[in-house]
Amino acid sequence: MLKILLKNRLLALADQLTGQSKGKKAAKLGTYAALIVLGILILIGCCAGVNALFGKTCARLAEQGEVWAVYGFAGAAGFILALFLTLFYAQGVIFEAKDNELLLSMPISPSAILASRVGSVYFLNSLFTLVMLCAAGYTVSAQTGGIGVLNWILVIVCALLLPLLSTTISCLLAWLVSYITRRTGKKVLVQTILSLAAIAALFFVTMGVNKNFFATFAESAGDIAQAFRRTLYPLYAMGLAIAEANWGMLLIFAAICIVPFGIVYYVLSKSFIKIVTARNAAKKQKYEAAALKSSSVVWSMTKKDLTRFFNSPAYMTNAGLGLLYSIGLTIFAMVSGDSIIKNILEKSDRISDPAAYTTVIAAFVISFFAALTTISGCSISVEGKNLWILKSMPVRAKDVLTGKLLSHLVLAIPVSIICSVLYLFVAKILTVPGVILMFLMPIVFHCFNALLGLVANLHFGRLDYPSIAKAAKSTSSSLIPILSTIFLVIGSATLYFVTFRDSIDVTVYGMIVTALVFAVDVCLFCHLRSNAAQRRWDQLG
Amino acid sequence: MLQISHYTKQYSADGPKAVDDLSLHIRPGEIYGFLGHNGAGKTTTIKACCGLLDFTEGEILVNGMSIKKQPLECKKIMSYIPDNPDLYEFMSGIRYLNFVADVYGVPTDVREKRIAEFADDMGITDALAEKVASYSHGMKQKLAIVAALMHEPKLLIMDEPFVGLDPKAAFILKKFMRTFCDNGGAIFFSTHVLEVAEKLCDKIAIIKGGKLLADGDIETVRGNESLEEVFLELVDDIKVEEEHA
Repeated sequence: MLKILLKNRLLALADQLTGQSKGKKAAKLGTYAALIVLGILILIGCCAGVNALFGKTCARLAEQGEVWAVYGFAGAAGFILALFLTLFYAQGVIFEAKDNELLLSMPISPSAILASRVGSVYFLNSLFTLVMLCAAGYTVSAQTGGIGVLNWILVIVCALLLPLLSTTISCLLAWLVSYITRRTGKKVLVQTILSLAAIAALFFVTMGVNKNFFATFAESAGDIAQAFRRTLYPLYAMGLAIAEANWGMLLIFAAICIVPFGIVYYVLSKSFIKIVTARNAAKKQKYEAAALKSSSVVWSMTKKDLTRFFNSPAYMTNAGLGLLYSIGLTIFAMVSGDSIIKNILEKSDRISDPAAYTTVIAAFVISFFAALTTISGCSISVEGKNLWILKSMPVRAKDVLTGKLLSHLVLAIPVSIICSVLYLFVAKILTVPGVILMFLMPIVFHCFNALLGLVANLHFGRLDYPSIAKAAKSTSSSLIPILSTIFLVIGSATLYFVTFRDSIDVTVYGMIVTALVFAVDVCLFCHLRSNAAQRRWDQLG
Repeated sequence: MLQISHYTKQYSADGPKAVDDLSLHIRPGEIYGFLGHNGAGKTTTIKACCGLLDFTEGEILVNGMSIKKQPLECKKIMSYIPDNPDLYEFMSGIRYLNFVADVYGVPTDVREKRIAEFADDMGITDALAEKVASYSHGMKQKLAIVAALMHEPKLLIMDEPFVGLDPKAAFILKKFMRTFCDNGGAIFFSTHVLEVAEKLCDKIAIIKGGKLLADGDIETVRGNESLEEVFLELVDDIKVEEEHA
């Protein structure tokens, strides 16, 4: 029974990864084969990447006789990656799976159901860990003239053991999130805070890894290894087990991974029925009649789409990430604005008007972040099973689409204006055309991104996603506005430096780009209000 | 109120006809039941009547207006309740009703009055502050019914409206359907529950494999037999007496 359940879970996972839920067997096999090839390519890429970035560090550690630390660091990276990426998956698949009650009603033991679900979390975790440890093995091999077969076998053994630890913590955190959401009834809030915390952590780690990081890391690798030994003993044991084929350490590491996993699995399997059938303990709100406010059709549509956006953590974090990045990087620019401007001016020897340059560059930078906001790009796909509501109502496609456009712009434009105001302080610009450009260009690019996203979603979007979260994460039509906006921003900036730098004033050039993008915006807007859009809308569903 | 003439639906050019040359006429004041097995073509027909699905041949008129040529005008005077009401789960019940009222342009004082009345009848007033995601299937069905009544439609099209309703809500809905039609409205609904159709409908149509088998006044269709017997004979070629024997 466990085999069948596990097979089902892994097939569901594969379908989730490939975006396929049905289709011919041959086509499915082809997709799975493509997925395996992609996995191998990722593995090769990681091996090469880790060797390029940490090769020097690895060589230094090898000189000091601390090769174990390479495996330790790789294990830590794989562990954190697995934990980040499987936390919400674990929560969904273990505690919120829709078929929990159906399976419990069948003659299947709760521990088998739990094992199949935990098994799929373990499988994902082991993929991340395997990639990181193999990359570490390759790096050590490349830097020390090769490692033995036994070491490679131990890499595989440890890549199977370490995910037990990350799976244990994933399960515990998932249980905690489920417990809190059940007690408070604030599922959206809890998930949003956790998602934002994860993104913020990733953001700060990425920002911290600057060009000096690897050099500093290599120089003080020995000290870091010692600190590692004191604080992260399980990974020290694992590193030593692989690097020196130390069987004692392997046993200790195996015990550290297996025992907590066994305890957590035992406790969860004993309380599985109670956990998954528990009712929401949050107190129900009782409705008290109050005066209702009426709105126009378009504004009502806009409010509806905004409510959907703010009630889906996945939609917010996937489609609204650009807004957060814009603000984050504007604050970063404010903090280190002077040095950024100094850098730009130092590198551009032929700049005649530095103030104008910094203005236009800032306008392009803010415009660039418009690309990362894809709220409208999946706004039709997220309708999914709800599409019948709009289609059965006496409402024209242009009103629905304008509502969706506004729901993107009412969030993006204020953020863009805030960023422009903050950049004004950084760039210290006083020219009127510069100030106008600083505000206008990002707004025009935000409009372009929102309009193109909506047009792409209308014409190429899928409507068969099972949930808002899935639609927000998987809509491929979102890529069209992202890539187009990036191409336009970078392309027009590059074109100026390559072709027009000597012939056109930078502010005038910025104005021309803004005007051209505005013209495209007008065309896209007219299309959304046209009969062609109405015909396409009528065909949906 | 609703006239379906030679309606034919083919999902693909070389595929079979999901519904073949169906003609029905639902007049004001009539409750018209639409019966048939799963996959007979009931939902396909109902969706076409609401403008949710394009069709291959024929014409559907709502109050004399073509659903193909004047969909907005048609939709203004009718309401649709699907069999599985996938409503906006991210909204509270009251916000959903207010949204529907906004789209149909129902004045605020009128919408407040109607929400109070219909939600109370359906027994969902207390739950209106909760998110639709927390509603049971029956609660969603009730909310969909209240939303459908917000703009006082002349034509109600319902797909299996009694599925998931508790006995009280089902009783209230049946009573409401009768009153609605007595006041000049028309109802076209599909159902599997033959007892409901027998007691509630003025007219029925029975469909099998996309083809109309029988339609007309309930007394005319069933003759001296029960509706169940007629249905089984027509749809499954089963003689009830023989089965019993």
